[in-house]
Amino acid sequence: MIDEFLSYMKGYVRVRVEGDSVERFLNLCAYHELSSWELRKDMDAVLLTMSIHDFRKIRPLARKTKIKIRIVKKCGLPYFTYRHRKRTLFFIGLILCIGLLKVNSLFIWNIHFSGNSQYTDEMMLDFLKKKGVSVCMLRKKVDCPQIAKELRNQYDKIVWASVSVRGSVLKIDLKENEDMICESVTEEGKSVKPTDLVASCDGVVTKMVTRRGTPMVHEGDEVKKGDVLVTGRIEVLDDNKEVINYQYCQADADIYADTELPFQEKIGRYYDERHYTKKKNYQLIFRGKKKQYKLGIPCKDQPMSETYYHECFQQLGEHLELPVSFGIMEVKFFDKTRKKYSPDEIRMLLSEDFERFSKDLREKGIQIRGNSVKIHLYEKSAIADGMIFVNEKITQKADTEIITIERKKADESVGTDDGNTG
Amino acid sequence: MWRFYMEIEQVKNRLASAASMPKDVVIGSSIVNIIGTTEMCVENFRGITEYTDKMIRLQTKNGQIKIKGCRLEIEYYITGEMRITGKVRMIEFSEGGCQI
Repeated sequence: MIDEFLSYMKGYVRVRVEGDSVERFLNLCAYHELSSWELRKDMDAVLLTMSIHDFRKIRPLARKTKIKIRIVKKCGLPYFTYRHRKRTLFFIGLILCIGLLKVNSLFIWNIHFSGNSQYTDEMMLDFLKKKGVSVCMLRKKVDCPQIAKELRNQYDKIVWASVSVRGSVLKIDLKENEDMICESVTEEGKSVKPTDLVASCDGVVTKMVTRRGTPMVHEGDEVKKGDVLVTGRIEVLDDNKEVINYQYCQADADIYADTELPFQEKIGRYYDERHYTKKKNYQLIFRGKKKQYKLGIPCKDQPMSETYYHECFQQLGEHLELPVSFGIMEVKFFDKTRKKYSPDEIRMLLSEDFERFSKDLREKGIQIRGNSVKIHLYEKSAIADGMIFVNEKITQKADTEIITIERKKADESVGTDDGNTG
Repeated sequence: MWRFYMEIEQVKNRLASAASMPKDVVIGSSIVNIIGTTEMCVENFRGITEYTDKMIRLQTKNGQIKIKGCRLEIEYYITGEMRITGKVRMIEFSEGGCQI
């Protein structure tokens, strides 16, 4: 493949060699290191292919061996350019194309991040932009070691960074410290304010798993909204079971309770049915940053029409968005008819809405136990109204009340106060 | 004279065997590689003696190689090396030979 391409670039000729001593001629060619290929016997002659460079040297050999040489075919780029030498525009286009490729290859057109999970691409792109590194910058201005160093300095969780330029892509490989995620949590536990878990709504506790803090309710208890369920204040008792101090933490627990959710949906009984006509209008749109150009026959503004935009936002690579977009604007015309939902239709619509609402709840992990939703039909509207009985997580964070205990001098000698007292 | 030449060749052959040296370098033996019956590569020969689409005769240092077949074509021919394609039916080696 490469040989063929090189031969094409250099140019070659297919020649017909005729005479009594063709073999001698071939041997002389080989002796003078003039390579020939695709030798084929054709009647009394031999057809062979030679490069232009070698062909220019065979004249003395042909005279010596008294053979006749005739060119059958000329191939390759030199002959192609000679044949099309008058097509100047083509060559100008070709040169421009090569020039553009060369110019484009001088710039960075894409920045690719890999290995980042805690920091987003956008976050790092903004940082790099502040440091003067962005798409469309010159390749030679990219200082890879410096970028890697700055990324490591800026983001503590990045423990390793490799920056390289591959073609027109700035490739940034990162390695983040995964252990730091756990460490940050524990650090937060020490420094962040202590919190309680309170009830977000009224209900009856059905399940409770406490991981941190002191539980204030039990399974089966009825709770009101705002009641403390688990407190972040842990009592420190002495030998007499008296509270001598409090330790504070962020309460953590899973508490589920049977609660009720109100549901109400209202739909009007009259609606406008749209009948789309066959008449449509299309226009080409070219949108810049500030201006918009339309190409096509504009339609008169009609109140009963819908306009759809099918636009292509051009993006080069991953992060370079072009400031222009183009697309088609489609205008559909319609006629309106006033209609009324039948009782069955409106029941079905409200049922669908209720099902959709229930599905959303289930997706959130809320268990539905039952409902008392009823549909009421009126002259102008229909209402689905009632309660949904669910079992859900009812915890909500709230600040812990800090209680200070005045300690006696004797107690201070015990030295059990290692908590975060306020 | 011919006998003396043969003796020198035998000595060279034994020396090459004893020294584990390639015989194509020491004696100048030809190397013929054949792939199936459609392609063959010949190295270390002096030149072409005869070329038709049914027979190719090559002159080597120690004799001649005659390749018979049909639609025989030479894919490339450079100094001391050529690749032949086509249907190869017979390869014949003969000692001694003519000058080219």
